[in-house]
Amino acid sequence: MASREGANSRSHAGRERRGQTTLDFAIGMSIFLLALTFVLVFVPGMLEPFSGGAQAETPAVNRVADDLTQRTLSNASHPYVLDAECTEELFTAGVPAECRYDGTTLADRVGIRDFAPVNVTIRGDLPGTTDGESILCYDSGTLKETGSGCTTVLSGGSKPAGSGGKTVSAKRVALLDGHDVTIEVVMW
Amino acid sequence: MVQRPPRDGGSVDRPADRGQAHTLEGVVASLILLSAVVFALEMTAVTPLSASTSSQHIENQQEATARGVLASASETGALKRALLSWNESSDQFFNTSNLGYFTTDSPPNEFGEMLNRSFNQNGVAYNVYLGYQNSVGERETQQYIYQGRPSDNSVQATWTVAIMKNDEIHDYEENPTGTLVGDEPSYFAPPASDSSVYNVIYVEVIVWRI
Repeated sequence: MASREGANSRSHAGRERRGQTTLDFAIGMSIFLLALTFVLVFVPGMLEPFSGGAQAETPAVNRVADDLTQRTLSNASHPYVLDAECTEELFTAGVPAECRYDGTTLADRVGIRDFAPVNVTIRGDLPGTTDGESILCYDSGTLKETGSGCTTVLSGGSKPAGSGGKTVSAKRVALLDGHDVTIEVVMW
Repeated sequence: MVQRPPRDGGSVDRPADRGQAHTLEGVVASLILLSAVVFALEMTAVTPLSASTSSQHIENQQEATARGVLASASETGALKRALLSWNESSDQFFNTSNLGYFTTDSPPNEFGEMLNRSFNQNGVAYNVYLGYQNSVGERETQQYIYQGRPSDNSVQATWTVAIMKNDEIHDYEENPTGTLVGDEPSYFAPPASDSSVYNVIYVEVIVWRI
């Protein structure tokens, strides 16, 4: 106290240095809160793929696609070779007697219950047409790409409502009328 | 008191020494939190951050697609024609480079176009190997299409094609030349038996995402 040094030290200990403690607390707390926020944001994203939305449909969509290409529209001795008539009639109201499906709606014919909407589309790139795949159709027994007078479009089932919903799709390549076509089954 | 040595002065200055204590605590607490997350990440086998470009569902689709392509090509005869399109003078398939197998471009035949339509446009690479029995009865492999080393997430589909003794070698446009396979010693597969079956080719397609 008597010396200049003592007075100096007291004034530091008293006000200025305790002021730094508050600032220090703010910095420490914000670092901690930043880390906590990062962890809380990061962890759900880490677990997200394991709790994916449409996982129940994944086996069903594969089952429908395999069934169509290997049993319903073809037969086990010639898998992936589709019967033209049964393929066309799958998307129309009537059911020919020789085809291995029955029911009125597409969901019935592929064996899917009402609560899971299903869509089946056959696409292909036929020779002599523009490049790139488009939806195929039958015009009185002739396989065509859509856009040029079709009687039966090879696409059926419900349509996905709106956008942004999660869907699960399965793709198979098969032979229809001597052309390789892609069968896509979508469920949601 | 006033004349105490600096060591004791330290005890007077304790609030000053605690100046960064809360910051340090914050840093340490964050480190503990982050190391807990890192530990959890290391424990799980597959996370979104794992070095994989594939998922089981996509692999299943690729495998089924490859099988469908093979079945379709086999049904139309495109697969067999591709296997029989053998250039006798250069001892390799027609239209291949000096390597003797196709690389980035798919074969300019119907089988190649089928593969192209199904895979090439979708950022998918594929290799095609032909397995056959050699003259002493062991299995050997010939490359037909080689686009690179498959990744760990590749899938495979196979199909067997029986080549008969009286099947004809095809030319570069896949028209029969009239030469029988049995009379063509340069063909990649030797006769495997004395019966009418010349050899059985085991076509193996390996598909992976790139």
